Amino acid sequence: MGRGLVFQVDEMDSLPWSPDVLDDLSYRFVENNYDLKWLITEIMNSNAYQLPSVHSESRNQLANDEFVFQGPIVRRMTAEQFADSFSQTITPIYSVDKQGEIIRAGAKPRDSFQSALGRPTRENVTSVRSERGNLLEALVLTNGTVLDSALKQAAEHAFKEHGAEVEGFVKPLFQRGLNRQPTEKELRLLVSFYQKNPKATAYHDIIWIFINLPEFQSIF
Amino acid sequence: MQRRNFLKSLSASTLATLGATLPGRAFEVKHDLSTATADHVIWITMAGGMAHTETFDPKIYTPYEKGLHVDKVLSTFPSIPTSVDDLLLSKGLENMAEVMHLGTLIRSYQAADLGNILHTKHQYMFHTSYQPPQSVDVPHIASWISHEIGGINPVLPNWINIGQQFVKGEKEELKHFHSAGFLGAQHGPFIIPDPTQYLGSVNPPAGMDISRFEKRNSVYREMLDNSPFSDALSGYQIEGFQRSMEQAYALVKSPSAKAFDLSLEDEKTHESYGDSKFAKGCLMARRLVEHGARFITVSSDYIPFKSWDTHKDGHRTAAKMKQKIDQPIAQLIKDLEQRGLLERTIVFVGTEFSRDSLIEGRQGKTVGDQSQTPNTMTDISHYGMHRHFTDGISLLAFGGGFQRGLVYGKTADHRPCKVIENPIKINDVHQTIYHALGIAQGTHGITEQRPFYSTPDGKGKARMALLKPS
Repeated sequence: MGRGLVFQVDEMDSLPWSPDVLDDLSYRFVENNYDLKWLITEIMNSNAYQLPSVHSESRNQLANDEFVFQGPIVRRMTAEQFADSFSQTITPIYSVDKQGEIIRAGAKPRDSFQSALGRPTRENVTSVRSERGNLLEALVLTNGTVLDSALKQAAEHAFKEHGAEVEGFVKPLFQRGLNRQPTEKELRLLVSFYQKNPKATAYHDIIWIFINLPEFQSIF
Repeated sequence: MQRRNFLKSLSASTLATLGATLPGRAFEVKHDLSTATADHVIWITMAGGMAHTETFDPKIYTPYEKGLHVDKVLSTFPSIPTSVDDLLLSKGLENMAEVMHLGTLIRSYQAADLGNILHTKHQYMFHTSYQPPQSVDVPHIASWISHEIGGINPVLPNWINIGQQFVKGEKEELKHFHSAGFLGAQHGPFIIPDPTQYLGSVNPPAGMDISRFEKRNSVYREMLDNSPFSDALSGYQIEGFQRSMEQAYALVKSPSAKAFDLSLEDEKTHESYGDSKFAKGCLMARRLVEHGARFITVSSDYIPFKSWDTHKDGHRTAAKMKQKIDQPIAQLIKDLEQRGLLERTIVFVGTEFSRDSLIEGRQGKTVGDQSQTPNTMTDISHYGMHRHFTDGISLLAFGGGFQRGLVYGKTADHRPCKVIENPIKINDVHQTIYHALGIAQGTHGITEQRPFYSTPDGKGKARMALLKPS
């Protein structure tokens, strides 16, 4: 939700923003025999969780004692979440297993791609990751080889399948990745790419733009 | 005005200032950049433990012979004269010998006593000044500098780390100190594991020409401006992300990207540095300083039991290592001096500890022996410094306000060759560098609701004797 009942998780003696909610959840968690699946279901079905998300101006705003919960906080995906989302909507960054399921980034060692996107080493005790974005991360997204070769592969595949029918690729992509249809303007911008350069590289650039949209990068 | 345009309209220097927002402080910290004597730092590490008696602090030379006992051996090389009167270096450092009048040789560094010797523990401490393990994610010295005074050329990353691979052995531990810690990843290292493979770092992706790269970016911007959700997605995380994407684009497009391009140097220059990856790292460091980079680390590349990490065959390996480092470091110093850049650039050469043929750890506090070589030599591979020694270590500091032609501190001429004059520890080493850059001694950040200092408890002090009197 972007901000725990207690904030941060490594300062559990801080005041929860709602002691009542915390008490109630703890009590019923025990009643349900410490069933984590029950707890997750309960939280995700709650009205609080399903409120529209809100953005926050700074980390301090979240840490403030006066914090009032208004909805889940818009936040960027972690390195592993981004890699998995990419694998699921574009093409597997890492390989797939015998059942054809993607191998989750968290199950792979921390490589240069994930480390640039902020996955910490196991030796460092870290409960908070850097959230502000930085140049190194942006460079890895801009010209890093891991991502670029995955993009290339996806683009060639899409070009073979869709050719000049770019709309037939972009619309399902938006549905899959953003859960909405592109606006007319968005569609026009992306399709014009192909018209000026009818090659696989046009798909390459379309996908790159898509995965770097804040809307794709965020959880909200 | 749209946020995007606002960002575009900011000057580069404003962006740099924004990037270096100061965190909370427990009390005011005042840097004095007006008295700073240095702007750039090139931090060169002889990773694996460089024996002082085989390099910058030679003792009596004992040639190899069968049946020689290790306790008879202090140096396995003869000494050579240098550009400083009465200063001798170990044979194999002929190029360094020519530039010793341009810097300070510290012969009295002592590493901490951290129990059983592990390179990664000592390297961690050398780079962060903190003894591991720590409950706080501790920043590298470069990250403190990046955080406190930011970069010089706003397009370049504040900390560029050259020549350390992260693939072989101990890799997780190795990365441990290559970190901005709690100061935030924007102060972390921009890593170039192999300087000869620079092209990928700051150019458009392979196979993408510049016009396609520009076009991709301009459509990307249009997509951002036309997003139906741009208002809902305007939190601090997304803003930071977008700013970074613009910086990355600016770097790839900027003339400063050429700083990484070694093909722009002529053949003669390449020859003057040498052919190794380390040599190319030194050359790249020089180019980066010319382009206004703040902090550059160049590593001799730490791989367990390789290079300076001599557990056997120490003599022959040391000869090879000296050959590898002598020419590039000396050439770097000469180049910077010739270009007038050495005055404002600290070139610091360090190592996590020294080595000895007999003592593991230090006298009176020896720890578990890690060398398998016999005490009585039957083969030349038994000849050399095979044990880790923490009580007398040589460091070098050129330029940026450090004295010229100074030899500071002294180690004993007989075993143990430990520090007997002007001992200096890592806190003071770091503080001396901070001081030269104008960074205040009490520099700290707030983490876990307490101040956390650039050196433990803020106690280190700049060693003024190493610096030119102001």
